[in-house]
Amino acid sequence: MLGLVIGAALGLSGAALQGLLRNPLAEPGLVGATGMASLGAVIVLYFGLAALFPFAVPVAGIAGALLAVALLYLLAGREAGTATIILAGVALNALAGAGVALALNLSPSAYAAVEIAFWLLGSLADRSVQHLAFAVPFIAVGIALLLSVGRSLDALALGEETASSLGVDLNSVRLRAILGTGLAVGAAVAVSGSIGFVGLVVPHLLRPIFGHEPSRLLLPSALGGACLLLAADLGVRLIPSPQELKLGVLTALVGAPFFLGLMWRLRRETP
Amino acid sequence: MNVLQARALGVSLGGRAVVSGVDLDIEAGDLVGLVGPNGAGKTSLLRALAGLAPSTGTVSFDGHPLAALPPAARARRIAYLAQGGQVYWPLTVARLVALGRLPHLDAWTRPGPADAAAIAAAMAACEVTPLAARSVASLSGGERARALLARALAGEPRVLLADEPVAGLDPYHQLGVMDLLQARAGQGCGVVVVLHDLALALRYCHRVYLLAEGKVLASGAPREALNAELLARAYGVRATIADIAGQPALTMERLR
Repeated sequence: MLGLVIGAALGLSGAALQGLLRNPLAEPGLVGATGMASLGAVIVLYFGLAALFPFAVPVAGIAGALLAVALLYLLAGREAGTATIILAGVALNALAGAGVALALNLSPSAYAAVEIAFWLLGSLADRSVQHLAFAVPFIAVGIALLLSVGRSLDALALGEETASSLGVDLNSVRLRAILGTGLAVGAAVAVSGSIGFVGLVVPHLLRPIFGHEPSRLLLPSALGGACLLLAADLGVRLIPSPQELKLGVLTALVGAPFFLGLMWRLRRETP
Repeated sequence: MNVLQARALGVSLGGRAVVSGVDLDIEAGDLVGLVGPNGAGKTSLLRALAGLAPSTGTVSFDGHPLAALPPAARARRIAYLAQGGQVYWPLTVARLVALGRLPHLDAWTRPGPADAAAIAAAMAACEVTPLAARSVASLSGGERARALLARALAGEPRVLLADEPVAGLDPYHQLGVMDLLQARAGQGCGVVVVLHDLALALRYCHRVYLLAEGKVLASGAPREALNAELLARAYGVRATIADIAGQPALTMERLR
């Protein structure tokens, strides 16, 4: 159940960001939301706060993602173009990566380091109904925000200037898309750790079926993301292995080669 | 009766005034050319007329300030065809043209029969109906220009602002696009077109505004506003205008 919700959040965020940034390689990780959510959670794990307060990890994750979104909006400014948003995301990811590396580096005990590393791999194991109850409201608000920008994202296919001439309020669209991504991805990452490639691969898979307009892709991507994560979760549970396979590892192992193949094909099709 | 009117219009980019003190009037059925050298402020002026760029002075539509109109209401009245016309996703032509109806829809309503009729009419007018299922990425330059124009017309605007719609097209397709703009003006739409080809401006436009360094150097009938003396001042060229087979023709050489 949690897998379905998180998959939907990741798939939808990927589709919305690809529409907003007009870049088929965009995904939640790109704007720094995933990275900063991880950093928030890692800080909590590092200081051992998770033991004191069971929801410390999710709370910190959402705080991290929202901080990322706020910083992104401040860095990118109100009139910024796509390039600025992408560069701001790169900077935030670098910051988050450095913070996580520092936490691992300074980790007082091997046990704490392993705990952090395992959490980063992403998993749905041992997640309770409480986790679900905590994540769902944030994800639901995020999803609603993202679904509301579909038409405007279509107009962005013609560039920001033309979209604006079609009556699209660019600032409102950016704010809703980025805030929606921050809420949905922040809550998802905080509960499950970082699970990559869902936001990247799902819209790509669905594009030939539903067409290229973001508005046609949003809902299918949410459903597709949910299906993909459910399948991956089942795979993790069914594949026999000496250690428990982590969900994030499986999606990356399956997703990355698939995505490389997709890019290879695209490259051959467009000389 | 003026549809679109600008008074003392000014636009600044990065603190530098690129357009200043421009007075401009567009009537229904007008085909108005904006001509001038590179950097004269043609695109900035067009953007300000579309309400897309912050400007000083006033732009009014039907006598009411344009800035007071909500964005969607403004978009239903004024269509803007951007220079270059990049399309970021390989949409089909039919879906590209359908985007022109966005100002008539809100976030949740589905397009109705009126939208479908307007899309079909725009595609027929621009002769892109046979291309409906083709991807924009697979079109030739001429087909692409017509598809983008159909997108702008699908919103049934009262004013069409087109920024260099014939750039990069061969002579046949240039004439085709200009014929389309002329036909649209004939149906009562006010059309403003940025042109670099002075012969096209002389041949098609009812009136032209010759811009230089952000100001209107001359305006009026093409033959008067684009005379040899004014062209020398605006472009630094010696122009000779003659009629060949009833059409205006130009030769130019650089003054130095």
